[in-house]
Amino acid sequence: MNPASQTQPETIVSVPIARWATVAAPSCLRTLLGSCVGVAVYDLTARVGGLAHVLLPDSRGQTDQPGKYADTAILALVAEIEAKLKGKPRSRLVAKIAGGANMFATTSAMSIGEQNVLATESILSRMDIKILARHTGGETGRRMTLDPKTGVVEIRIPGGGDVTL
Amino acid sequence: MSEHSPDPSTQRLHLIFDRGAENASQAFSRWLGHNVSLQIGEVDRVGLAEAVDAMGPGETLVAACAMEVFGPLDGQLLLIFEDQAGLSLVDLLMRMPLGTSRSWGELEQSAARETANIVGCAYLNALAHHLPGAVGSLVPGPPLFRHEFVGSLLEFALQDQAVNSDELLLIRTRFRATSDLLEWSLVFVPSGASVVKLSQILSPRDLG
Amino acid sequence: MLPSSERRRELNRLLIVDDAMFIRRMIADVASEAGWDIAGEAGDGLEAIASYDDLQPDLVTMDLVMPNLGGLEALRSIRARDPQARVIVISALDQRAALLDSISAGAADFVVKPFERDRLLAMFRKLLVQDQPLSQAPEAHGG
Repeated sequence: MNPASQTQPETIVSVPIARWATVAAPSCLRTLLGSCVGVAVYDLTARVGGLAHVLLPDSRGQTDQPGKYADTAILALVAEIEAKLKGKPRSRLVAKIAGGANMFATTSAMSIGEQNVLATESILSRMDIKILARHTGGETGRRMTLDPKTGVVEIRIPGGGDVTL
Repeated sequence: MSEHSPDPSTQRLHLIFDRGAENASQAFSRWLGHNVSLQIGEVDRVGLAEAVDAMGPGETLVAACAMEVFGPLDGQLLLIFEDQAGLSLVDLLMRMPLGTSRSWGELEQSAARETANIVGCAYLNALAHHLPGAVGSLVPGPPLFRHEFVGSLLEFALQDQAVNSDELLLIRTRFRATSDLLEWSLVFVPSGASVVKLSQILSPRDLG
Repeated sequence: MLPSSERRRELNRLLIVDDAMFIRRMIADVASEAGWDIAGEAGDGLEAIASYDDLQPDLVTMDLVMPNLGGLEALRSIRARDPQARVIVISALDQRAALLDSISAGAADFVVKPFERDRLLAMFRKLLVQDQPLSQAPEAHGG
């Protein structure tokens, strides 16, 4: 979506809601989450990574906004990373996920945030992409940054400091 | 103002939400004991990414009181302010010099939540009164006080509408008190079902 | 203490119910000035019912929008336990349905927030005078 040349100095590519992006190091990817889930997928050897900002768990067959739903967004994200890997095996891909918070304590059985997390976990599992770390749930938003050079995901909580995954 | 050329139902929406904003600013003035003026009232239909950035850069850390709205026009109501404007609001309420309150203790948060309750109720009172037909009561839940990224806050609020639509409706009102730059914004984000209901009750055939 | 003053003190005990500490403090301040004794405060409807049972106040101010249990439900429950309970609703919800529901649940009055301090003060003074039996009005005792 917003490929960065490897010769450029480190830049942070911002991923809007319901979109995804892939970059190669030294570029980083960043997104801001509430009930949405951020799905970071990367290949540490190739130093290539991608980040999807998933709004809802299930596309139910809709194809016009693939970045909006966990099932279509993760497929598209992984396809774009594989294209960047130029035939290198997908088995080296790993994931870290964050978000899925719920600002209001709802009375319904499961919040959209929780549904987003579950859907993401299930899709990654079906694709044999291991989730190395997660920072999900709770009541607050998160700023999520992926550095594909190190595989480090930094989470910033409003007023609460940083967490490294 | 909205970039889109207003159709009759959007104009009608504007009129009704302007009444809400007017009533809210009057209640705000009485509550603070200072004149609170209405700066802008906007009814926006925007895309997802635009909606999340509607209050400025998403990473901006703000203080906010968030209320769920129950009733025939449900959704989320957010009173959003920068920390300093929020603490100045507490100073005005406590009749203390501006700059006295410096942190969000229990009393300060309580003052902010009650302000949101009063301003939010005044807004909803006017909507309930002016919406065509007997819409019934519009009741806010107890306000939650949060420090949050403004983009995350809007994302939480817009989630329900985004389930069925990529064009989102949000209604923004900005207030300013005294001659200082003390600004607070009230944002109403109707639920997905409420957006459908609003377009039905404000359809052109009901005009007049 | 004289029996009459004992009796009088028993009739000016106020329970303030509001989830906002800030408003409880404002109401307590005005009510105290009018001569009411703040018997207790509650932050939601559940606390209000428990406090009413414990304190048996002479008057309750009741907010409507509160966590855990709203004021309308608390009002109904208190009136069911004590049909003589006197409850004033103080709410920002100035809507016909809220007013009618409050009155039918047994509210003695309905005050809209933001209230004017002087009007609230006058209301508390009036209620205090109403509360005193004629033979024991504030000026009537004195030993």
